[in-house]
Amino acid sequence: MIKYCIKRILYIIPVLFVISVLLFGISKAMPGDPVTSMIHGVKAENYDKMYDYWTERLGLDKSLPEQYVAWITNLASGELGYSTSYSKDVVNVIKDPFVNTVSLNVFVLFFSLSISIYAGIRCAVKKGTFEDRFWQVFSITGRSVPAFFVALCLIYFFSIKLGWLPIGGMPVFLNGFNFSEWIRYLILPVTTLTVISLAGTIQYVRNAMLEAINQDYIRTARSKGLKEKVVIYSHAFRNALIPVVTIVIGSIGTLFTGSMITESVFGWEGLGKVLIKALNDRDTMLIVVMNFFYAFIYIATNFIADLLYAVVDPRIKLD
Amino acid sequence: MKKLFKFALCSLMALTLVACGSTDSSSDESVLYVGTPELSGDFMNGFGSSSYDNYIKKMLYGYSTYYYDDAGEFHLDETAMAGVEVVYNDDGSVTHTFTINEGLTWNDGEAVTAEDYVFATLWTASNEWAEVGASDSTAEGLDGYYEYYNSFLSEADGGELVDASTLIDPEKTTVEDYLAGVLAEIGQDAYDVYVSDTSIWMEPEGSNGSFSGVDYIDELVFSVTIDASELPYFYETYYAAVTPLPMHELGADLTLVETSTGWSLEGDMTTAMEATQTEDGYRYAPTVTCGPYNFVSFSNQIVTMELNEEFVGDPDGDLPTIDKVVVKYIDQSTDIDALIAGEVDIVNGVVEGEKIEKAKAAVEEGTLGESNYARNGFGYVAMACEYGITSIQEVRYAIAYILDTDEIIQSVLGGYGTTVNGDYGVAQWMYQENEDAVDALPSYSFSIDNANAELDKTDYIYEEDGVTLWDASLATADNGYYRYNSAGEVLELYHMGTEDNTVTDAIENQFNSYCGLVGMKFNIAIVDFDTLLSNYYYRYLLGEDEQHYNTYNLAVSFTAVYDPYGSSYHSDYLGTWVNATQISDPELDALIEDLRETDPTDTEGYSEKWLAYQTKWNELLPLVPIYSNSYFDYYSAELEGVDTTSFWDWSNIICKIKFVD
Repeated sequence: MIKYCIKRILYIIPVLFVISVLLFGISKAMPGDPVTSMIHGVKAENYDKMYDYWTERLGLDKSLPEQYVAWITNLASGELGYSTSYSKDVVNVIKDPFVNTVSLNVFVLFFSLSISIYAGIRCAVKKGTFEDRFWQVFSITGRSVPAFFVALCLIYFFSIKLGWLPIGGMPVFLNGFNFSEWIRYLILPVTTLTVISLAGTIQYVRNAMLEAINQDYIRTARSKGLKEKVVIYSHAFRNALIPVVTIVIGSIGTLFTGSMITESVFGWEGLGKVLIKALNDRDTMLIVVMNFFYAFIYIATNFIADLLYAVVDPRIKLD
Repeated sequence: MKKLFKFALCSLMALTLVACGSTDSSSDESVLYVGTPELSGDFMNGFGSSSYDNYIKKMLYGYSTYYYDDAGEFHLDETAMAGVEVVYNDDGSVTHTFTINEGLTWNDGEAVTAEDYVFATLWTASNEWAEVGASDSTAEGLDGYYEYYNSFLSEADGGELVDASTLIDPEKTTVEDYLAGVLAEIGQDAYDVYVSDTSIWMEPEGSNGSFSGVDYIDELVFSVTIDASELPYFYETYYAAVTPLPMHELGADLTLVETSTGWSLEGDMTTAMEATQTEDGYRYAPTVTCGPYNFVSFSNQIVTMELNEEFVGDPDGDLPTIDKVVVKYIDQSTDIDALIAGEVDIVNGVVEGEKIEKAKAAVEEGTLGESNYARNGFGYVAMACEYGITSIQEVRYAIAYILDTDEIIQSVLGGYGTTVNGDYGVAQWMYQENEDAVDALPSYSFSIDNANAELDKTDYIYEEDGVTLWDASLATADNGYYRYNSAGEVLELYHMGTEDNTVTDAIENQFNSYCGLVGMKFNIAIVDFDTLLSNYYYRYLLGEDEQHYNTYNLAVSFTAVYDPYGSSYHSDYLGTWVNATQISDPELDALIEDLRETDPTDTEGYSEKWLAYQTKWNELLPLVPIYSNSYFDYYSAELEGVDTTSFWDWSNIICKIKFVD
């Protein structure tokens, strides 16, 4: 196991290197000049001087390989660079949005996994019933409808028509943190993201469970007179866990990544909204750092998923 | 598993119940919530150009020497200043000597003194300030500004700097000779010299420099002297407008010293300025201020401010009455819904017809109040006057003729707007004085016939063979029957607009419908705003083969200082972003100079010159004005005093806004 872990970690390093080169290269190939955007409005008499000054200060006067080496070295030492659109260090730009995105996605993850796993199992067990058909239709609809549409429908009914929940934005805490106020602002974005992520996951769990339920050992378990609950949860579900683990671990990765559309529609100040602004403003450093972070999270969760396969299924050997 | 599911559902219900509980408010405090588009978080003057950040700045900073009123006219702030003495010096310069009222304090209790005004001038006019990214200073009109700033800047007068060692000018001056000449001219030799590909500049070695245009006289008295070369200037008082900065906070390690050439800040200015740039530095969290409100926090696009107990009043002597002001981001598509739902108390600058109709219904029901005023500016299609087909005046006219501005005002603004015939906003007093004359200028109203008539005056009068005359009766919107010139070049227009922009969509529709009817081939690029700005303002940096676009759609809002010299159309700014259309016309230059050089007391003369300038501008037509919006501010019916104008938004009148008892 340890040998496997070391081997995988060693594999990750060149993968990250290639990703970093690609991201850096793509960001540099984007049209637009970050310094021009940054100093727009400077007096014409001072423009050249300021342009040269900021080009040098941001290291953009160096060759691309030199810029890359400087960036990756700084990144390794924890310096994420300077955001030209926010005029702040990248770390200060993403600090609060990171917390907001994680706090949003913790709820989404909890509700979507618990509901989808339960509903997926029920659909498999009660295949062909009204309940199964309901979740099937829900699943297809959820996958077909874009997130912004779900978001706008929820805003229309719960905020505009009923006036129960805020239309969007972030909660204001004038007298210290207020949990109920925070939850009021979270409900609609959490519901939107939960509905969207439920749709696919239910189908996935249902299929895995159906495959497990049709195995001979399930028939054997039933013929031994075991309770149906034991058959389903102890025998079938445990064997259906491998594909489910893939979903669960993949979902954990989404904890740290923002949803650009949903966050924008609700004005939730998360990483997704920051990334949209960075793209619009040609903020190359912010774009590269955020995408590199997402790539890292993706690779890390895949690695963890592989490790967990061996835990949930003793037949899998990690060599 | 069933338990987990039940737990999840119970959690959901519990959270919903919690959420339905009380909201975050205190019964004793009055809190004003203002909805705004995204803030950039730059709350120090000099940083950022966001008008939304400016709301915050106007609430935090106060006691400027001069302020502009609700009609855009400058006056002495008599709450802050006991008086001003204006002296016309023999050398042509003008000195404004201000006496500060006693008893003004910063919100930390320290007295506001003349030192803070002098410090603010030296700080914001310095080279070091520009180097941390700041761009704002009204001190540029003061005596000795350029000497203090660089202390000498030159762009190789009359010549072209090819590279760091080659200068081409009529006198064949080398860079070395040129620098020697400059040093001799200023009588000093201990200068650091910097040379880039396009500029040469120098600054005193190891010195912060001295500024002759500002003078500290005593604790309550200081003066600023406007440079003779800048005078006469109609907006002279603008140059003498100084907003104090807290020297005890920002320049605690600096000392104000008098030198033989003026006043200087002694000490490490760079370090002091870098300190303002940290995450909790003054730029992002200006805690020591003297405006009506104090900065409390900014996070998650929410700015919280609380009443400044030390504030003695706005220029009218009014004091703020609302305990806290919260400015928060709300999505623009749902801002009126948020206002009606009571999530915010003010939404300003609404222009979309659909939203206005919805808000008007709420006004009629008595749940909202309304204030509307004309935009001090307009939306336009700008033209590259130095490049391609738009360098031809008749083509510019033709483009104007094929844009149906009335239709755009109806479809995009729901009819809440008007057209303008020049470079002005209908809120300007100059327009109001010359309304009949300006409205009588050519309006280039939609006319395919007129467009064709204009194009017939150009060389684009042939079919593709370059011989057969182009026939308007054969042209349709999409049959590809285009005009060509005698060189066989097609009449082809490249337009650039921004994405998710209803004005771009309307312009695209019209060009698609009408360009073909005048034999013009139409192309459009829809890009993000940043790309459009780079292409429009900085296309002079592009090579000939990189420049493609003739027209761009944008908008402008004028400030209280209306000076076309520094904002757009003078040939002094050819080859810079300032003259973005790159128009160049000696007569227009002369009119612009004449306009700005009007004596400040001669409003009648200024008005006449303004009309002459508008007439010439209309004739040259560097851009096509499309619409001048009506702006609508909506607010909760619980508020009173929200009397906004084209020059004053809600933050200017925060001391006058009150909750109805």
